[in-house]
Amino acid sequence: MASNLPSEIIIEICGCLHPKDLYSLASISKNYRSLLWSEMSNTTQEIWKTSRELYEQNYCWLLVLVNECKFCGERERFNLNIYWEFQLFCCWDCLKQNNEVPEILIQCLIQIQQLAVLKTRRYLVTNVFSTLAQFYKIEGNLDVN
Amino acid sequence: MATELKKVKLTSSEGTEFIIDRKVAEKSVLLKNMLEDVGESDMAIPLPNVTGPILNKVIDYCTHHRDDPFVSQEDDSKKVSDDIDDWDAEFCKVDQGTLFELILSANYLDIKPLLDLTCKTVANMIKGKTPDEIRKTFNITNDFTPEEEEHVRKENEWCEER
Repeated sequence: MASNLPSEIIIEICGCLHPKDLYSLASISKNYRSLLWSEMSNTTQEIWKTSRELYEQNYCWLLVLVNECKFCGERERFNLNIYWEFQLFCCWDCLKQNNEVPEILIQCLIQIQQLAVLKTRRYLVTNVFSTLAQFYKIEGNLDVN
Repeated sequence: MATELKKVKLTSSEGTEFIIDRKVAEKSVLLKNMLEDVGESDMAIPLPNVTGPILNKVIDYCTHHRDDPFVSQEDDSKKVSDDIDDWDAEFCKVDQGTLFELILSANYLDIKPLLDLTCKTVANMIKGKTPDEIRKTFNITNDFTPEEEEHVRKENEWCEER
């Protein structure tokens, strides 16, 4: 991909990516490192800016300046988190209790976070069964059991 | 009505001729401008950067989307890659080589919605993957030395602890 696509296209593609994916992309090869990890390059800075879909002021506010929960004023950092998806800095409980974010999105967020933390993969039940069937077939041939 | 019926001739890089409706051709800003500049003409427009099979795909796309409203360059406020409809998703089910050629052609012919669609498709192939999985997907060689890789890992580290 690096060799046959001009950088303007790669920039276009990066525009659709979450910052998390940009970090991954920035560690795959020297080419991508130089494109995505330069402090001096305007291109690099543009890519990251598009990716976070925030104005600089908003971004700095969330990242460095704000130090208490938007809803209850909690200051214990351990209980607080930035929810980039909703551009909120608050406690998890407050996020759930306040109606600022629709319930359905919270449910989605829970799913996404669990996947990220556990690194579990999900499979279709039918696929699991067919794989199991194959496994037993091999095992039967080996005469184990 | 008159423009609707007018035909345009295109030739791909191998010299294959394609005759399409002017309205379909005008999905490409490059062709639209050319046609406006040249005016009435029976001459085929040569497209030396686009191969026949790819041009065929591009024409498929433009024909399907012929009646879509024109989206201006600046009007891409929201860049989300999960708003691809079924026809477009099916259209993008091609091998990687074809996909990249489509991107290049969309870029060259200046067909913004097709460029967006194909770039989003590639972005979706990257989403949520580890660096190693990305390398495998796109067949990219890891050209870091072990020391450099360690350095990259360290540089990335501060952002991993959330």
